[in-house]
Order: sequence, then C-alpha cells, then structure tokens
Amino acid sequence: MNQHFRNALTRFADDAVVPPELQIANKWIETVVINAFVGGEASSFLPAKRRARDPWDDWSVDFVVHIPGGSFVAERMLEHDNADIGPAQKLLDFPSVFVPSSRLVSLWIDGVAEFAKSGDRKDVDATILKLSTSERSEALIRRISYIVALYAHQRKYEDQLSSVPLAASNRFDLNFQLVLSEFLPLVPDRSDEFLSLLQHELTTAFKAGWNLESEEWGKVKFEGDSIILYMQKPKTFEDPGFELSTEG
Amino acid sequence: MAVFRFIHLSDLHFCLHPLRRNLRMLHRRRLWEQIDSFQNQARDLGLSTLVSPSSYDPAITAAAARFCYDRRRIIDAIIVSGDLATTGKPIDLNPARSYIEDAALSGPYINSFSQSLAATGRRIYFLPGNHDMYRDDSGWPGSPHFHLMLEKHLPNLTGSVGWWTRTKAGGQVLGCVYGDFCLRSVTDAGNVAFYHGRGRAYPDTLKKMVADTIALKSSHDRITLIWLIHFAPFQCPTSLQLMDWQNVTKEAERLGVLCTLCGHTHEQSKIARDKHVVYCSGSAGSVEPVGESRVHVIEIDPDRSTAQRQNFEYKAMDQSFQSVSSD
Repeated sequence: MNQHFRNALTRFADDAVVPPELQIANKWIETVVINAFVGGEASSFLPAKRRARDPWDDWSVDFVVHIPGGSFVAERMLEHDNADIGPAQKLLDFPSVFVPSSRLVSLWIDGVAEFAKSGDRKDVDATILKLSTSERSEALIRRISYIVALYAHQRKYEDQLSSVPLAASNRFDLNFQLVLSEFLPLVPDRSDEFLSLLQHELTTAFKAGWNLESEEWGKVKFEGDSIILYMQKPKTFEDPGFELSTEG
Repeated sequence: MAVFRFIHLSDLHFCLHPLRRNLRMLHRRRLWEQIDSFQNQARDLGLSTLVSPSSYDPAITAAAARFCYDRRRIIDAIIVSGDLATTGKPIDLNPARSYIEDAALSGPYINSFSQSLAATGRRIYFLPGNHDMYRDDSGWPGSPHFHLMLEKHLPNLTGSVGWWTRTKAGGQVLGCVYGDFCLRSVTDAGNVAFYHGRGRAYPDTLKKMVADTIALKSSHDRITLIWLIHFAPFQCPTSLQLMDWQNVTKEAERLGVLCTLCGHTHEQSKIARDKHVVYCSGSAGSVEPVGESRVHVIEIDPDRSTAQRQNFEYKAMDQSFQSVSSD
C-alpha cells in the first residue's frame, strides 16, 4: 500500500483532522487504483492520465548497475557526469551550490533503510546504505534533479506549458509533491518533515541567486515565494503551403 | 505546388539489449574503447552477447522520434526501409513494434525510455530487413515473427511484395511498390559465410514488383512511382550485397520509377543513373557506425518528376539530428 495512503489513514484515525497527505492519498487512489482497473493511458505524472506503474521503472539504468558477484551498486551513478535525465534529454544539473542538510539526507536514508528490507530495490537500497555521508548527499541531489527534470519534461509535453510551478506559498505544488513522494522512499509520518525541509532548502538555494539554466529545459527561477520552471517550447516545424495527402 | 514529403528512416535495430556491440564492430573503435566496451558488455550482458548482432542506441532512436514528431505537420508519412529490430525474435521485435504503433502520451514519449512514431499521427510505411527475419542471434533467416507481429501495417501485401499510394487534393498520386528480398534460406546466400548480410533479388519477387508497378501505372493517370526495398541495389561490400541487384535497377529504370529508397549499408549514399535515383539511408538507431547516424527528408515533386533529399546527421552533443547536406 502506498505510504501516503497508510500515513493519511493513520493520521486521520489519530486526530480526526484531514491531513495534507489525505489529498495525496485521494489522488493516489484516483490515479493508481482507478486507472489501474479501468485501464489508464501511458504513464504520466498527471493523475487524470496516469495508470499504475512502478515508479522505479522510470529511473535511469545508471541507477541500477549489476556487477559480478550478484550485488548492485549505485556507484556508477555517482561517477556519472551526465546521469541520464528523462528520455535522452540533456542534463538538468543541480550545481554543487545546493548541499542538502544532514537532517534532510538522514530523513531520506531512514526511508531507504525501511524500504530496503523488502521490495524489488532492496539490493540497490542496501547499497545506498553503504555509501559515505558525502556520497549519500550527492545521491540525493541527483535523485531530486532527476525528478525535477522528469516532472518538468512530462508537464511540458502533456500540457504544452511554458512554465511549471514547483513550489508556491512555502509548499511544493501538489502534483510535484506527489511525484517526489512516490519516487523517494520516505518513512511514513516523516514525509511531511522531509518535504517541507526540502522545500525550504531548495527555496533558500534559489533565493541566494541560484538559477538553473539549460538549453533544453530553459530556466528554473525563484520568484516571489515560488519556484518556477520556465521551459522552452517544443519546436514544431510549419509549412503553410504544405498540403497533406490522403492514403489511397 | 503540391509536393510529397516523407521522412526516411532505416536500420533502427531495436533489441532487448540496447547498446550491444558485436566483436566484429569493436575493432573499428579506439583501443581503450574496445577494452571498455568489451569489459562492460561482458559484465552486463554476458560474454556470449559479443558474438550477437549489434543493437541500437536509445538516445539516437529517441532523437529520431523527436525529429519526426517536430516535423509531423510538414510530412505526408514516415518510411522505414527495414531492419526495425536486431533479430526477428519477438523479444527484440517488441520494442520495434512499440516504436511503430504504441500510443504516446507526452509528445513522442510513451514513458521515460520509450518513444513512438505513432505520436506524429502520420502513416508509417515499412518493410522487413534481413535482421527482422533472423530466427536467432546467429542470423539464421526465416523468422515468422515479423509478419505475425507487424504484417497488419504492410498495405496490400501479397507474398513478399506490396504497394501503397498517396493522393494530393490536386489529383497527383504517389505510388510506392515495396519488395522483400531477404534470404529465404541460407543456401540462397551463394556463399554460406555471408548469409547474415546478404539478400537476393528473387525473380518471383521482382516479377511481382514489376507487375504491381505496371498495374498502378495503368490505374492512375497522374502517378509518380517509387520503389522501397531494404537492400542496396548497387555495388557494396560482399557481405552486404543484394545478389542480382542489377536486375532490380534495370527494371526500375525500364518502368520509369523515379527513385528507389533503401538502407541496409548504414551509409548514406545516392546513386543516380539516367533518370532513376537510388537513395540509400544511413542508420537511424544502430550503435554502429559510431557518429554516422542519419535520417532523411525526401521531397518528391510529382509535377516535375523530381526527387530531392535533405540529410540530417545525429549530433551526440545535442542529442538531435541536424541538417548536413542535400542531394
């Protein structure tokens, strides 16, 4: 069962307050459960278009590298200067100016440790647990940049958007939050803390004047209290004089 | 002025194993790259895959899908001249099938790692190449799976030959006759050492192509005809030869076929003789040869009976195809 669904049920039972997770849980039910059975379309980050998928399928192959001896390592990912982002898109690189706090990393590592006990990725997760502190930090940065890029890419093509909000009013955009939560193993009841801390740290980094620029993706900027991705529009060739032929 | 415009792709070489390289291809690389490729592939895919046929680079096929998607409003259709897959095994054909027919959600993307030409909304015309008909990694010909999985997309196919037409509002018609010259048996290769890469211009297939071409000409007043085959109908390395290729070009010229589109060699080339032109496409996905992947835009002017081609080369730095020449 999805961690947020469990989380929401627990909190709902505990204090009878509708927690933010319930919104996420609702979306999760709507997208994963309903679409799985009625047959959703191809994988999408947009709830209405999404069907059940294993989010780990979307990770770059570089995150799962097999080595002799039967174990998996994530080392190659860390060495990789150009971690594969999305469908062969250029890297949206988070420069080293963003260094996650030890608390943020430890919240993530706690989740990894919990989920490493079982599941398809237990070997990968177990390997992450063996990484040094700095390597863990770097691994988290790469994962977050990967998620941002993947999310932005899909929104760009699905909605033909030229800008996508990642965060506003000191909260992550709900869709983006859902994706973050789905991709990063987090301990139920600590996901709130992780997400708000991550939002705070990213915002701080952006406030310090950190603009991400990429020819493919456009710019990531901090404006007001929002983090917004400004993306280049997909290029479509036009020929007004061209007349489409018909078959037959 | 009504022109027919197509994107011409060839030799995508989809496979279960992306980035798989064959030992014979490795010698073309620099020494340190040879060692690196050998070590990585032996580790990740197993030593035995080094004697399997080379496969595809997902970055290149993704760029080809984007190329087609970006130009969807200025083309009539997409033509793929064979070798969609590395072998005719269902497990290798499946990503090729997906690339041809699966619905995409975001642009040309099915998901993070898969793309689809179907997102262009344009008809995709293709035919099998020798790799599509491999029964296994040894290259033994005669796999039935390509036809079982993809035959529904081959219009008017009878035996090894089919045809299709496109019509402009002004009444101009473009007809294409396509023929499959893949080996039916290893012994047809002439020299058994070359059964992987050779084709044969079987007389019955050629005869059917001629008959279909004549039938199309007689049933349309204003038709421009092209042929589509996988093997290159000109002199090429022994191991890649289409045996009796002269018969193909002779018939095409005799029938007034404007041009023949082909692939197979992974090298872009143009051979013109009299009024007939052979446009050979580079590979739009294969890992080999490195740095020479190509896609093409073919423009056919039915009123002037001329064909022109624009060539685009894959630039790894930009992960996109960029215009390099026209011929």
